[in-house]
Amino acid sequence: MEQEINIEQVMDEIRAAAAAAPEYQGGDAFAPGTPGGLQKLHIALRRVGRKVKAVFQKLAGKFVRVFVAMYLFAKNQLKDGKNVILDTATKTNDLTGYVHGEVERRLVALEEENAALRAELDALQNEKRAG
Amino acid sequence: MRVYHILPTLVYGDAVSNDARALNSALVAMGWHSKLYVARTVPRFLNSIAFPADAMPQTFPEDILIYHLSTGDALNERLIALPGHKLIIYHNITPPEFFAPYAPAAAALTAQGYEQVKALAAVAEYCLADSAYNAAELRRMGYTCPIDVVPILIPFDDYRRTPDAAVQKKYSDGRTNLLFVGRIAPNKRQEDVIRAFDCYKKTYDPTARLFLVGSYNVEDAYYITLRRYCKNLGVKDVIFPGHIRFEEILAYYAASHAFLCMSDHEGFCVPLVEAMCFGVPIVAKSTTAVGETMGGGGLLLPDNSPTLAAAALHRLLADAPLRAQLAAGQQQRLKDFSYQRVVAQFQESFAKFIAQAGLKP
Repeated sequence: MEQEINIEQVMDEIRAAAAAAPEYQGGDAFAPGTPGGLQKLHIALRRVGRKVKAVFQKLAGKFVRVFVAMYLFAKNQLKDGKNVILDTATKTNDLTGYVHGEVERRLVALEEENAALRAELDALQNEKRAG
Repeated sequence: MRVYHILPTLVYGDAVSNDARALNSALVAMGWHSKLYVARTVPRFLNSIAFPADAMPQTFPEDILIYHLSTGDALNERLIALPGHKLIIYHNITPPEFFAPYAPAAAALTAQGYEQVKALAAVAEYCLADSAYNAAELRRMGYTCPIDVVPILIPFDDYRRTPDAAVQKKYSDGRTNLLFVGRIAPNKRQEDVIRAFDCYKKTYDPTARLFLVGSYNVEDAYYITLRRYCKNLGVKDVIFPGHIRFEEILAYYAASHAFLCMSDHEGFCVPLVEAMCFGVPIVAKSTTAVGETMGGGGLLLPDNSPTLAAAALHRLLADAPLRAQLAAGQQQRLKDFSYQRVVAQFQESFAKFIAQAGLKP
Protein backbone atom coordinates (compact mmCIF):
# COMPACT_ATOMS: atom_id res chain seq x y z
CA MET A 1 0.00 0.00 0.00
CA GLU A 2 1.34 3.43 -0.89
CA GLN A 3 2.29 5.72 1.94
CA GLU A 4 -0.27 8.40 2.65
CA ILE A 5 0.79 11.88 1.60
CA ASN A 6 0.90 14.39 4.41
CA ILE A 7 -1.37 17.21 3.24
CA GLU A 8 0.03 19.67 5.78
CA GLN A 9 3.47 19.06 4.35
CA VAL A 10 2.11 19.50 0.83
CA MET A 11 0.57 22.83 1.87
CA ASP A 12 3.93 23.94 3.30
CA GLU A 13 5.55 23.09 -0.02
CA ILE A 14 2.83 24.96 -1.90
CA ARG A 15 3.38 28.00 0.32
CA ALA A 16 7.11 27.80 -0.41
CA ALA A 17 6.44 27.49 -4.15
CA ALA A 18 4.11 30.49 -4.04
CA ALA A 19 6.75 32.51 -2.18
CA ALA A 20 9.36 31.57 -4.76
CA ALA A 21 7.12 32.26 -7.76
CA PRO A 22 7.45 35.52 -9.70
CA GLU A 23 5.54 38.31 -8.05
CA TYR A 24 2.05 38.55 -9.47
CA GLN A 25 1.33 41.96 -10.92
CA GLY A 26 -1.92 43.60 -11.80
CA GLY A 27 -4.33 41.78 -9.57
CA ASP A 28 -5.42 44.65 -7.40
CA ALA A 29 -7.42 46.69 -9.85
CA PHE A 30 -10.80 45.21 -9.09
CA ALA A 31 -13.43 47.68 -8.02
CA PRO A 32 -17.13 48.04 -8.73
CA GLY A 33 -17.36 49.89 -12.00
CA THR A 34 -19.75 52.60 -12.96
CA PRO A 35 -22.49 51.49 -15.29
CA GLY A 36 -22.12 52.14 -18.99
CA GLY A 37 -24.51 54.29 -21.01
CA LEU A 38 -26.85 51.44 -21.85
CA GLN A 39 -27.00 50.34 -18.26
CA LYS A 40 -27.74 53.87 -17.10
CA LEU A 41 -30.61 53.96 -19.53
CA HIS A 42 -31.98 50.71 -18.11
CA ILE A 43 -31.71 52.02 -14.59
CA ALA A 44 -33.45 55.23 -15.59
CA LEU A 45 -36.25 53.32 -17.28
CA ARG A 46 -36.71 51.04 -14.32
CA ARG A 47 -36.95 53.96 -11.95
CA VAL A 48 -39.93 55.25 -13.83
CA GLY A 49 -41.47 51.79 -13.92
CA ARG A 50 -40.63 50.82 -17.48
CA LYS A 51 -39.83 47.17 -17.85
CA VAL A 52 -36.72 46.42 -19.82
CA LYS A 53 -37.73 43.63 -22.15
CA ALA A 54 -34.80 43.23 -24.46
CA VAL A 55 -31.17 44.16 -24.74
CA PHE A 56 -29.08 43.99 -27.86
CA GLN A 57 -25.43 44.44 -28.43
CA LYS A 58 -23.69 44.90 -31.71
CA LEU A 59 -20.90 42.37 -31.92
CA ALA A 60 -18.84 41.75 -35.03
CA GLY A 61 -21.19 43.87 -37.08
CA LYS A 62 -24.38 42.09 -36.09
CA PHE A 63 -26.97 42.69 -33.48
CA VAL A 64 -26.80 39.86 -31.02
CA ARG A 65 -29.71 38.94 -28.87
CA VAL A 66 -28.86 39.24 -25.23
CA PHE A 67 -32.18 38.79 -23.51
CA VAL A 68 -35.31 38.09 -25.38
CA ALA A 69 -35.52 38.80 -28.99
CA MET A 70 -33.85 39.36 -32.30
CA TYR A 71 -33.24 42.20 -34.67
CA LEU A 72 -36.57 41.80 -36.41
CA PHE A 73 -38.39 41.54 -33.14
CA ALA A 74 -36.80 44.78 -32.06
CA LYS A 75 -37.73 46.47 -35.27
CA ASN A 76 -41.33 45.33 -34.99
CA GLN A 77 -41.53 46.35 -31.37
CA LEU A 78 -40.23 49.77 -32.22
CA LYS A 79 -42.81 50.07 -34.94
CA ASP A 80 -45.44 49.11 -32.40
CA GLY A 81 -44.19 51.85 -30.14
CA LYS A 82 -43.21 49.48 -27.36
CA ASN A 83 -40.23 49.81 -25.08
CA VAL A 84 -37.29 48.18 -26.68
CA ILE A 85 -33.90 49.68 -26.04
CA LEU A 86 -31.01 49.52 -28.42
CA ASP A 87 -27.56 50.79 -27.80
CA THR A 88 -27.37 53.88 -29.91
CA ALA A 89 -23.69 54.35 -29.23
CA THR A 90 -23.08 52.24 -32.30
CA LYS A 91 -22.96 54.72 -35.14
CA THR A 92 -22.39 52.46 -38.10
CA ASN A 93 -25.40 50.23 -38.26
CA ASP A 94 -28.26 50.45 -40.64
CA LEU A 95 -30.67 51.24 -37.85
CA THR A 96 -28.78 54.33 -36.72
CA GLY A 97 -31.20 56.99 -37.74
CA TYR A 98 -34.26 54.97 -36.97
CA VAL A 99 -33.23 53.75 -33.55
CA HIS A 100 -31.38 56.81 -32.45
CA GLY A 101 -34.42 58.97 -33.10
CA GLU A 102 -36.64 56.51 -31.30
CA VAL A 103 -34.50 56.39 -28.19
CA GLU A 104 -34.10 60.16 -28.13
CA ARG A 105 -37.86 60.48 -28.35
CA ARG A 106 -38.27 58.11 -25.42
CA LEU A 107 -35.72 59.97 -23.37
CA VAL A 108 -37.68 63.15 -23.88
CA ALA A 109 -40.84 61.32 -22.83
CA LEU A 110 -39.11 60.04 -19.75
CA GLU A 111 -37.90 63.48 -18.83
CA GLU A 112 -41.43 64.65 -18.93
CA GLU A 113 -42.51 61.73 -16.80
CA ASN A 114 -40.01 62.27 -14.08
CA ALA A 115 -38.19 65.55 -13.69
CA ALA A 116 -35.75 64.01 -11.21
CA LEU A 117 -34.23 62.01 -14.01
CA ARG A 118 -33.42 65.03 -16.12
CA ALA A 119 -29.84 65.49 -15.00
CA GLU A 120 -29.10 61.83 -15.30
CA LEU A 121 -30.58 61.63 -18.75
CA ASP A 122 -28.76 64.76 -19.86
CA ALA A 123 -25.54 63.22 -18.73
CA LEU A 124 -26.42 60.06 -20.59
CA GLN A 125 -27.20 61.94 -23.75
CA ASN A 126 -23.99 63.94 -23.48
CA GLU A 127 -22.08 60.74 -22.97
CA LYS A 128 -23.67 59.23 -26.04
CA ARG A 129 -23.00 62.34 -28.11
CA ALA A 130 -19.39 62.25 -26.98
CA GLY A 131 -19.40 58.74 -28.41
CA MET B 1 -53.13 16.57 10.01
CA ARG B 2 -51.44 17.70 6.81
CA VAL B 3 -47.93 18.71 5.86
CA TYR B 4 -47.56 22.05 4.09
CA HIS B 5 -44.13 22.26 2.53
CA ILE B 6 -43.51 25.90 1.67
CA LEU B 7 -40.81 27.92 -0.06
CA PRO B 8 -40.72 31.25 -1.90
CA THR B 9 -39.44 30.04 -5.28
CA LEU B 10 -39.30 26.68 -7.01
CA VAL B 11 -37.32 26.57 -10.24
CA TYR B 12 -35.08 24.26 -12.25
CA GLY B 13 -31.46 23.79 -11.33
CA ASP B 14 -31.59 25.53 -7.97
CA ALA B 15 -30.19 23.73 -4.92
CA VAL B 16 -32.97 24.81 -2.55
CA SER B 17 -35.64 23.87 -5.09
CA ASN B 18 -34.04 20.48 -5.62
CA ASP B 19 -33.83 19.94 -1.87
CA ALA B 20 -37.50 20.84 -1.38
CA ARG B 21 -38.65 18.55 -4.16
CA ALA B 22 -36.52 15.65 -2.96
CA LEU B 23 -37.57 16.05 0.69
CA ASN B 24 -41.20 16.27 -0.32
CA SER B 25 -40.88 13.01 -2.21
CA ALA B 26 -39.29 11.49 0.89
CA LEU B 27 -42.20 12.71 3.04
CA VAL B 28 -44.74 11.24 0.65
CA ALA B 29 -42.80 7.97 0.62
CA MET B 30 -43.00 8.04 4.45
CA GLY B 31 -46.77 8.15 4.11
CA TRP B 32 -47.32 11.83 4.84
CA HIS B 33 -49.84 13.86 2.90
CA SER B 34 -47.39 16.61 1.92
CA LYS B 35 -47.71 19.23 -0.78
CA LEU B 36 -45.36 21.95 -1.95
CA TYR B 37 -46.63 25.53 -1.88
CA VAL B 38 -44.66 28.34 -3.50
CA ALA B 39 -44.94 32.05 -4.16
CA ARG B 40 -43.28 31.72 -7.55
CA THR B 41 -42.53 28.85 -9.87
CA VAL B 42 -42.18 27.95 -13.51
CA PRO B 43 -45.35 27.09 -15.49
CA ARG B 44 -44.34 23.45 -15.83
CA PHE B 45 -44.33 22.97 -12.04
CA LEU B 46 -47.44 25.01 -11.26
CA ASN B 47 -50.40 22.94 -10.04
CA SER B 48 -48.56 19.69 -10.67
CA ILE B 49 -45.39 19.67 -8.57
CA ALA B 50 -46.15 22.85 -6.61
CA PHE B 51 -49.22 24.90 -5.79
CA PRO B 52 -49.62 28.65 -5.30
CA ALA B 53 -48.98 29.73 -1.72
CA ASP B 54 -51.74 32.30 -2.13
CA ALA B 55 -54.21 29.47 -2.66
CA MET B 56 -52.98 27.42 0.30
CA PRO B 57 -55.87 26.10 2.39
CA GLN B 58 -56.47 27.34 5.93
CA THR B 59 -53.96 25.67 8.22
CA PHE B 60 -54.79 24.39 11.69
CA PRO B 61 -52.72 24.11 14.88
CA GLU B 62 -52.21 20.37 14.42
CA ASP B 63 -50.86 20.81 10.87
CA ILE B 64 -47.16 20.72 10.02
CA LEU B 65 -45.52 23.61 8.18
CA ILE B 66 -42.10 22.95 6.70
CA TYR B 67 -40.46 26.11 5.45
CA HIS B 68 -37.29 26.57 3.39
CA LEU B 69 -35.60 29.78 4.41
CA SER B 70 -33.02 31.17 1.99
CA THR B 71 -33.93 34.74 1.10
CA GLY B 72 -36.00 37.75 2.07
CA ASP B 73 -39.62 37.27 1.09
CA ALA B 74 -43.12 38.30 2.17
CA LEU B 75 -43.82 34.60 2.70
CA ASN B 76 -41.34 34.59 5.61
CA GLU B 77 -43.56 37.04 7.48
CA ARG B 78 -46.75 35.28 6.47
CA LEU B 79 -45.44 32.06 7.98
CA ILE B 80 -45.24 33.64 11.42
CA ALA B 81 -49.00 34.08 11.58
CA LEU B 82 -49.99 30.70 10.15
CA PRO B 83 -51.31 28.14 12.66
CA GLY B 84 -49.33 24.88 12.74
CA HIS B 85 -46.14 23.28 14.00
CA LYS B 86 -43.21 24.92 12.23
CA LEU B 87 -40.09 23.16 11.03
CA ILE B 88 -37.64 25.56 9.39
CA ILE B 89 -34.98 24.37 6.98
CA TYR B 90 -32.28 27.02 6.91
CA HIS B 91 -30.15 27.28 3.77
CA ASN B 92 -28.51 30.55 4.76
CA ILE B 93 -28.91 34.00 3.24
CA THR B 94 -26.11 35.85 1.48
CA PRO B 95 -25.19 38.83 3.66
CA PRO B 96 -26.29 42.15 2.14
CA GLU B 97 -22.83 43.72 2.25
CA PHE B 98 -21.78 41.55 -0.69
CA PHE B 99 -24.49 43.02 -2.89
CA ALA B 100 -24.39 46.62 -1.68
CA PRO B 101 -21.76 47.91 -4.15
CA TYR B 102 -23.47 46.29 -7.13
CA ALA B 103 -27.14 45.65 -6.55
CA PRO B 104 -28.78 47.76 -3.83
CA ALA B 105 -32.14 46.03 -4.38
CA ALA B 106 -30.60 42.62 -3.75
CA ALA B 107 -28.83 44.00 -0.68
CA ALA B 108 -32.12 45.34 0.66
CA LEU B 109 -33.82 41.99 0.03
CA THR B 110 -31.20 39.97 1.87
CA ALA B 111 -31.07 42.49 4.73
CA GLN B 112 -34.83 42.07 5.02
CA GLY B 113 -34.27 38.31 4.91
CA TYR B 114 -32.00 38.43 7.94
CA GLU B 115 -34.56 40.44 9.90
CA GLN B 116 -37.21 37.89 8.94
CA VAL B 117 -34.98 34.99 10.03
CA LYS B 118 -34.63 36.65 13.43
CA ALA B 119 -38.40 37.18 13.65
CA LEU B 120 -39.06 33.53 12.80
CA ALA B 121 -36.99 32.42 15.82
CA ALA B 122 -40.03 33.04 17.99
CA VAL B 123 -42.20 30.54 16.12
CA ALA B 124 -39.71 27.88 14.99
CA GLU B 125 -40.23 24.65 16.90
CA TYR B 126 -37.45 22.71 15.19
CA CYS B 127 -34.82 23.56 12.61
CA LEU B 128 -32.74 21.74 10.09
CA ALA B 129 -29.58 23.39 8.80
CA ASP B 130 -27.57 22.32 5.74
CA SER B 131 -24.33 22.70 7.68
CA ALA B 132 -23.00 23.24 11.17
CA TYR B 133 -22.09 26.73 9.95
CA ASN B 134 -25.75 27.46 9.19
CA ALA B 135 -26.82 25.96 12.52
CA ALA B 136 -24.39 28.22 14.37
CA GLU B 137 -25.75 31.23 12.49
CA LEU B 138 -29.28 30.37 13.62
CA ARG B 139 -28.09 30.14 17.22
CA ARG B 140 -26.46 33.56 16.89
CA MET B 141 -29.78 34.92 15.63
CA GLY B 142 -31.62 33.77 18.71
CA TYR B 143 -32.90 30.30 17.83
CA THR B 144 -33.26 28.19 20.96
CA CYS B 145 -35.22 25.27 19.47
CA PRO B 146 -33.49 22.00 18.51
CA ILE B 147 -31.38 22.36 15.36
CA ASP B 148 -30.17 19.31 13.47
CA VAL B 149 -27.60 19.42 10.70
CA VAL B 150 -28.93 17.62 7.64
CA PRO B 151 -26.99 18.18 4.42
CA ILE B 152 -28.81 19.42 1.37
CA LEU B 153 -30.38 16.54 -0.54
CA ILE B 154 -28.72 16.26 -3.95
CA PRO B 155 -30.41 14.24 -6.71
CA PHE B 156 -27.29 12.34 -7.81
CA ASP B 157 -29.24 10.27 -10.34
CA ASP B 158 -29.47 13.43 -12.46
CA TYR B 159 -25.69 13.54 -12.69
CA ARG B 160 -25.66 10.21 -14.49
CA ARG B 161 -27.17 11.83 -17.56
CA THR B 162 -24.92 12.00 -20.61
CA PRO B 163 -22.94 15.25 -20.66
CA ASP B 164 -23.41 17.46 -23.69
CA ALA B 165 -21.15 15.96 -26.34
CA ALA B 166 -20.44 19.22 -28.19
CA VAL B 167 -19.18 21.04 -25.09
CA GLN B 168 -17.13 18.07 -23.94
CA LYS B 169 -15.54 17.61 -27.37
CA LYS B 170 -14.82 21.31 -27.78
CA TYR B 171 -12.84 21.51 -24.57
CA SER B 172 -11.21 18.07 -24.50
CA ASP B 173 -8.21 19.20 -26.52
CA GLY B 174 -5.34 18.60 -24.13
CA ARG B 175 -5.40 22.07 -22.59
CA THR B 176 -5.87 22.46 -18.85
CA ASN B 177 -9.42 23.43 -17.92
CA LEU B 178 -10.14 25.03 -14.56
CA LEU B 179 -13.69 25.34 -13.32
CA PHE B 180 -15.86 27.20 -10.89
CA VAL B 181 -19.62 26.69 -10.80
CA GLY B 182 -21.98 29.12 -9.12
CA ARG B 183 -24.19 31.99 -10.12
CA ILE B 184 -22.22 35.11 -10.94
CA ALA B 185 -22.56 36.88 -7.60
CA PRO B 186 -20.27 39.01 -5.45
CA ASN B 187 -20.13 36.56 -2.52
CA LYS B 188 -18.75 33.91 -4.88
CA ARG B 189 -15.73 36.14 -5.51
CA GLN B 190 -15.33 35.23 -9.15
CA GLU B 191 -12.82 38.09 -9.31
CA ASP B 192 -10.53 36.10 -7.02
CA VAL B 193 -10.93 33.05 -9.25
CA ILE B 194 -10.03 35.18 -12.28
CA ARG B 195 -7.05 36.67 -10.46
CA ALA B 196 -5.76 33.23 -9.41
CA PHE B 197 -6.31 31.94 -12.93
CA ASP B 198 -4.42 34.89 -14.42
CA CYS B 199 -1.55 34.18 -12.03
CA TYR B 200 -1.63 30.44 -12.84
CA LYS B 201 -1.64 31.15 -16.56
CA LYS B 202 1.26 33.60 -16.35
CA THR B 203 3.34 31.49 -13.98
CA TYR B 204 2.65 27.88 -14.94
CA ASP B 205 0.43 27.20 -17.94
CA PRO B 206 -0.28 29.90 -20.55
CA THR B 207 -2.70 27.65 -22.45
CA ALA B 208 -5.06 27.02 -19.50
CA ARG B 209 -8.74 27.92 -19.65
CA LEU B 210 -11.16 28.97 -16.96
CA PHE B 211 -14.86 28.13 -17.04
CA LEU B 212 -17.01 30.34 -14.83
CA VAL B 213 -20.23 28.37 -15.11
CA GLY B 214 -23.20 30.17 -13.64
CA SER B 215 -26.13 32.26 -14.66
CA TYR B 216 -25.84 36.02 -14.90
CA ASN B 217 -27.77 39.01 -16.10
CA VAL B 218 -25.91 41.06 -18.68
CA GLU B 219 -27.08 44.20 -16.95
CA ASP B 220 -25.74 43.11 -13.58
CA ALA B 221 -23.06 45.49 -12.34
CA TYR B 222 -20.97 42.69 -10.82
CA TYR B 223 -20.93 40.74 -14.08
CA ILE B 224 -20.04 43.90 -16.02
CA THR B 225 -17.25 44.60 -13.55
CA LEU B 226 -15.90 41.05 -13.92
CA ARG B 227 -15.80 41.35 -17.70
CA ARG B 228 -14.09 44.69 -17.42
CA TYR B 229 -11.62 43.18 -14.96
CA CYS B 230 -10.72 40.41 -17.43
CA LYS B 231 -10.17 43.05 -20.09
CA ASN B 232 -8.05 45.23 -17.79
CA LEU B 233 -5.93 42.27 -16.72
CA GLY B 234 -5.57 41.21 -20.33
CA VAL B 235 -6.39 37.65 -19.33
CA LYS B 236 -7.70 35.44 -22.13
CA ASP B 237 -9.60 32.17 -22.08
CA VAL B 238 -12.04 33.09 -19.31
CA ILE B 239 -15.32 31.59 -20.45
CA PHE B 240 -18.70 32.64 -19.07
CA PRO B 241 -21.16 30.13 -20.54
CA GLY B 242 -24.11 31.85 -18.84
CA HIS B 243 -27.40 30.05 -18.33
CA ILE B 244 -26.96 26.64 -19.93
CA ARG B 245 -28.70 23.29 -20.00
CA PHE B 246 -27.99 20.79 -17.24
CA GLU B 247 -26.26 18.43 -19.70
CA GLU B 248 -23.90 21.27 -20.64
CA ILE B 249 -23.07 21.89 -16.98
CA LEU B 250 -22.24 18.19 -16.69
CA ALA B 251 -19.97 18.52 -19.73
CA TYR B 252 -18.03 21.39 -18.13
CA TYR B 253 -17.45 19.22 -15.07
CA ALA B 254 -16.47 16.27 -17.26
CA ALA B 255 -14.00 18.40 -19.26
CA SER B 256 -12.37 20.07 -16.24
CA HIS B 257 -9.14 19.15 -14.52
CA ALA B 258 -9.53 21.12 -11.29
CA PHE B 259 -12.24 23.03 -9.46
CA LEU B 260 -11.27 26.34 -7.88
CA CYS B 261 -13.58 27.93 -5.30
CA MET B 262 -12.62 31.31 -3.82
CA SER B 263 -16.07 32.05 -2.45
CA ASP B 264 -16.39 34.25 0.62
CA HIS B 265 -19.78 33.02 1.74
CA GLU B 266 -21.37 29.60 1.34
CA GLY B 267 -24.00 28.00 3.52
CA PHE B 268 -23.17 24.62 1.98
CA CYS B 269 -21.84 24.94 -1.64
CA VAL B 270 -23.42 22.19 -3.72
CA PRO B 271 -20.90 22.61 -6.60
CA LEU B 272 -18.16 21.26 -4.32
CA VAL B 273 -20.15 18.04 -4.00
CA GLU B 274 -20.82 18.04 -7.73
CA ALA B 275 -17.06 18.32 -8.35
CA MET B 276 -16.53 15.36 -6.00
CA CYS B 277 -19.17 13.45 -7.95
CA PHE B 278 -17.25 14.05 -11.18
CA GLY B 279 -13.89 13.26 -9.62
CA VAL B 280 -12.63 16.80 -10.24
CA PRO B 281 -10.00 17.67 -7.61
CA ILE B 282 -10.86 20.76 -5.57
CA VAL B 283 -8.83 23.74 -4.42
CA ALA B 284 -10.95 25.99 -2.24
CA LYS B 285 -10.60 28.91 0.12
CA SER B 286 -11.56 27.84 3.61
CA THR B 287 -14.42 30.07 4.59
CA THR B 288 -17.93 29.79 6.07
CA ALA B 289 -19.22 26.25 5.30
CA VAL B 290 -16.69 25.43 2.55
CA GLY B 291 -14.22 23.50 4.73
CA GLU B 292 -17.06 21.59 6.37
CA THR B 293 -18.53 20.51 3.03
CA MET B 294 -15.07 19.54 1.76
CA GLY B 295 -14.65 17.37 4.86
CA GLY B 296 -10.96 16.74 4.25
CA GLY B 297 -11.25 16.20 0.49
CA GLY B 298 -9.29 18.64 -1.68
CA LEU B 299 -6.84 21.38 -0.78
CA LEU B 300 -7.97 24.19 1.49
CA LEU B 301 -6.45 27.65 1.17
CA PRO B 302 -6.26 30.04 4.10
CA ASP B 303 -6.82 33.21 2.08
CA ASN B 304 -7.42 34.59 -1.41
CA SER B 305 -3.77 34.93 -2.40
CA PRO B 306 -3.57 34.40 -6.18
CA THR B 307 0.00 33.13 -5.99
CA LEU B 308 -0.95 30.55 -3.38
CA ALA B 309 -4.02 29.40 -5.33
CA ALA B 310 -1.97 29.19 -8.52
CA ALA B 311 0.77 27.21 -6.79
CA ALA B 312 -1.82 24.87 -5.28
CA LEU B 313 -3.43 24.28 -8.68
CA HIS B 314 -0.04 23.64 -10.25
CA ARG B 315 0.94 21.16 -7.56
CA LEU B 316 -2.38 19.39 -7.78
CA LEU B 317 -2.23 19.09 -11.55
CA ALA B 318 1.43 18.02 -11.61
CA ASP B 319 1.33 15.53 -8.73
CA ALA B 320 -0.59 12.38 -9.70
CA PRO B 321 -0.24 10.58 -6.33
CA LEU B 322 -1.56 13.69 -4.53
CA ARG B 323 -4.45 13.90 -6.97
CA ALA B 324 -5.24 10.24 -6.41
CA GLN B 325 -5.23 10.66 -2.63
CA LEU B 326 -7.42 13.74 -2.77
CA ALA B 327 -9.78 12.02 -5.20
CA ALA B 328 -10.08 9.10 -2.78
CA GLY B 329 -10.79 11.55 0.06
CA GLN B 330 -13.41 13.32 -2.03
CA GLN B 331 -15.09 10.00 -2.88
CA GLN B 332 -15.15 9.12 0.81
CA ARG B 333 -16.72 12.47 1.65
CA LEU B 334 -19.23 12.04 -1.15
CA LYS B 335 -20.69 9.05 0.68
CA ASP B 336 -21.82 11.38 3.48
CA PHE B 337 -24.07 13.14 0.96
CA SER B 338 -25.57 10.03 -0.60
CA TYR B 339 -29.28 10.32 -1.23
CA GLN B 340 -30.11 7.39 1.04
CA ARG B 341 -27.98 8.66 3.90
CA VAL B 342 -29.38 12.19 3.79
CA VAL B 343 -32.97 10.95 3.48
CA ALA B 344 -32.35 8.75 6.53
CA GLN B 345 -30.99 11.74 8.45
CA PHE B 346 -34.02 13.79 7.44
CA GLN B 347 -36.42 11.02 8.46
CA GLU B 348 -34.74 10.73 11.85
CA SER B 349 -34.92 14.48 12.46
CA PHE B 350 -38.50 14.65 11.23
CA ALA B 351 -39.46 11.85 13.62
CA LYS B 352 -37.90 13.80 16.51
CA PHE B 353 -39.78 16.93 15.45
CA ILE B 354 -43.07 15.00 15.31
CA ALA B 355 -42.44 13.49 18.74
CA GLN B 356 -41.55 16.87 20.22
CA ALA B 357 -44.74 18.38 18.79
CA GLY B 358 -46.76 15.57 20.36
CA LEU B 359 -48.08 14.46 17.00
CA LYS B 360 -48.66 10.92 15.84
CA PRO B 361 -47.66 9.91 12.30
